[in-house]
Amino acid sequence: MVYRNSLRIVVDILTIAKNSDSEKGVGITTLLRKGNISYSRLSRLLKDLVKCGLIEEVNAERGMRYRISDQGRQFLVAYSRFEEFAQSFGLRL
Amino acid sequence: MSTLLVAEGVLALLGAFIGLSIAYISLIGYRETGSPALLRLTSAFILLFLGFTCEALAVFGYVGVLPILALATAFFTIASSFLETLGFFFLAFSYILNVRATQRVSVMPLILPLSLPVIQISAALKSISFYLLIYAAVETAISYMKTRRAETLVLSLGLIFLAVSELIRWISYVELSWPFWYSTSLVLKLIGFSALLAPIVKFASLKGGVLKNGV
Repeated sequence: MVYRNSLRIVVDILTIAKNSDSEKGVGITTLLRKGNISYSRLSRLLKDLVKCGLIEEVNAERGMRYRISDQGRQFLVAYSRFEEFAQSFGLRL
Repeated sequence: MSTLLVAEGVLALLGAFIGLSIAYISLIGYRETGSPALLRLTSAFILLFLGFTCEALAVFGYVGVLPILALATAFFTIASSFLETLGFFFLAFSYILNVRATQRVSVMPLILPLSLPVIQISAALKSISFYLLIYAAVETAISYMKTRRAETLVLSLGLIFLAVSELIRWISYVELSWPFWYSTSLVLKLIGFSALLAPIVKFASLKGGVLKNGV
């Protein structure tokens, strides 16, 4: 089992949001299931991600949904580039 | 002898340039992602950049390329050893968290009374650097066995070459045929530094590709 640090969890959540329907966004249940993270932690994380502008909240009929913002996509591109760089040193981000 | 020392100074400048490049990329990465691993890498390579710069200044001061530095040669020698050790410590520390010169020490006649402590302090610090280098090289090699990335293997070999270069330089101090050993040490150091360029080259080549294709 690979230990995930908080940065890796953020990247996982953003990737799930990116891979979902970009217009409708993704529901919290999907994020919980695919992100493999507790509800309380995900709630705090989503609040922070929305505050940072990496994720956008979308009001839907069956509750709040989340979709990745342009800033979030740029973050994932940057993360991917620097992950490769760190892996050249045998390190994980 | 003077030519070899000048070559050593130039090599130290090359090391400083490579260290600065890696530190710069890591710093950008840290600012964009907030990764602590990249912050440690930035700290390590900024210290190595400063250490190699001090080493170049010490050598150039000793051989008289930069006479103004002659008086401060002892200071630069100790500073370079200290900064490099600290830099290699941060590098090794990154791996711990991830899992888990003669120095023909610039003995200037004017600072002769200081020469013995300078040699002792410098040698002690260089010994620590050697072990830290070996540790980082082994960790990088283990990482290569997991990821099978060519640049990781090149980097591991580069760190091994740098460590062996230091070891051979020590031999050159006690061997009669020191120019041979000293030259060999410089060649290995050059190969080691060249290998450290691998992540920079990889990053530069990746920059366009990833941006073009997206994540």
